[in-house]
Parts: sequence; C-alpha cells; structure tokens
Amino acid sequence: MTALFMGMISAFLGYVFGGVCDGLQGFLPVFVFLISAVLMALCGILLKVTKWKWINDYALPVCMILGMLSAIPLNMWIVG
Amino acid sequence: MKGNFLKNNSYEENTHILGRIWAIAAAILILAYPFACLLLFGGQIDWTIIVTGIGIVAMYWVVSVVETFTYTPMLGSGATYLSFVTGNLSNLKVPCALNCMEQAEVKAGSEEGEVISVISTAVSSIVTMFIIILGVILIAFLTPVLQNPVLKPAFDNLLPALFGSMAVVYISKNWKIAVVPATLMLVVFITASLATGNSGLAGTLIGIMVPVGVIVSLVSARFMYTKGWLGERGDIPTANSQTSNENTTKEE
Repeated sequence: MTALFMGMISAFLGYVFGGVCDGLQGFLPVFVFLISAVLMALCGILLKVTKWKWINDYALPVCMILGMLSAIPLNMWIVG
Repeated sequence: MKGNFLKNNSYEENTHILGRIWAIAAAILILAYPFACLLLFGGQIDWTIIVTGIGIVAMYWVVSVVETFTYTPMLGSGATYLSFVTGNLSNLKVPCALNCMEQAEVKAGSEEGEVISVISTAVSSIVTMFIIILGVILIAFLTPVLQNPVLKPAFDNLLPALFGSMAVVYISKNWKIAVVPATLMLVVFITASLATGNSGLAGTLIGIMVPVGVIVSLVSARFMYTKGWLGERGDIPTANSQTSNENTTKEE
C-alpha cells in the first residue's frame, strides 16, 4: 500500500518539473513544492521538540497555504 | 422490504449494492445533461466534433480503468464509489483520505482504514459542494479576487504546495521505495518538457503517469523487498509505522 502512495506522489513530484522548458518562470512550481516541503519538515521537527500534538493536525493545511502564498513574492521576483 | 434486504447484508455487500445504484444514477444524470440542454435550448449536434472527440474519449476510457485499479486499494470500496462520482480524486479526495488515515494512525485496506476513508471522502465531498455553492452565490464578489493577477500564482500552484507537504511526510519515511518511481517521473517530465518545449504537456501527462508511477513503484518495491533491501521480510516501513512504534514504546 505504501508503494501505491509513493507512486502517486512520485508522479506529482515529476509534474512540478513539467514547466522547466519555460526557464526560471517554469521553476516556480518547483520552488513552491520545495518551500511547502521544507515548512512541513520544520513542523515535523517542531512537533518532535515541543511534543505539541496539535501541530500534527494543522501542519498540512498551514504548509499548503504558506506554500501557495510564497508563489506571490516568488513570481514577483522572477517576473521582475 | 428493501430496508430488510439491506439489513440482512454485511457492510461490504451494502456498500457495493448502494454504491452501484448511486454510481449508475449519477452517470445517467451526468450524461443526460447535454441532451437536456439540447432539448431546452433547441441546439443541434455537430457530429464532426463528436467523431473527433471519440479518440480522446477512448484515451480516457483506458485512463479511467487504470485509475480505478490504482485508487481503489488506497481508498477502499465505499470511498471509491463516493470519490468517482464526485471527482477530483488525485488533487482532493485521495490526499484527504491518505492524510486522515495518517492522522488516525490506521492502515489503508484495514476495516478502520475503510471507515476513516469513507468519512473523510464524504466530508471532503460535502465541503467541496458547500464551497462550490458559496462560490456560485458570491461569484460577482469573488471574480475580481480570483482573477487578480497578484494572487493568480498562488492559485496556480495549489498542487505543488499540496504534494510538497505530503511528499516530505511519505518520502522521509519510505525513501528507499521512493527512489525508483521518483527518479523515473523526474526524468519523464523533465525530458517531455525540454523535448517538446510545451509546459502544458505536464497537465495532460499526469493523468497517465499516476498509474504508471504506481505500477513502477509496486514492481520496484516488490523487487527490493524480495532482495531484502527494505529491511527484514515483513518489516516494510509504512507511513504510520513511526507513530505506531512511538505509541508502542510509550505503552511499554
């Protein structure tokens, strides 16, 4: 079952690199993906350090929204 | 009579009976929409477009069959009927069900997993419908916000943000299983993008590449398992295993 999940997630990992032919603009989804992943990893570390269980419940939506919001300044920076 | 008939069946049997009834009813209603529009507005069928579209429809048949075999083991039977009617599987229902099972510390495919998966998919469908209704009512107020050029990149990058968060959870716990499918998918998408120069191709490819990624992942994981590269046999780490181990330690 784990392999099934990994297959699906791997496909979407590839998907975010689908715009690389567009140059730096095409890397925007990659940056968003990485920022979202880093934030989630930080939440995981915070959960381990503080033992605050509630972080586990809100980590995914918070990281997702922050990841999406990061696209705004990143886009401004890329477009110039 | 019908109530008694359903009462005598198991949960699993009832799920399939009711699931098939509602899936067929939904299919009839969805397919009836264009014909209803034709009747109501007195439109004409352009058979040239229909014939051209058959080729695309045939591709979706294949994708749909493969998707059914891919997502059903993850979601369980009840959630499969629900999600295939309501749609948005890969970007909404499956991540929602996976995350809920992860939070509830249950395994997909187990009885507990089936219950959690059905509840999460049902709640996701209800919330989606509620948001859509709200969106339709407030469309006049929301249009300037949704079409705002400053906010557009945020809405365009919903999937990378969602799967970035999910990937770090799953890949960190099962990185050995992820190596082969992740590498293959990166090579396929980057090569396709650079070779064609078409960034929009990824959107078309993803529907086909999810089942391909799943098959590659299953085959490579099985191979690594038989070779003993995933630890001892029967000791494949799951997304929940770390949390379960922590709980076991606490109980001890």
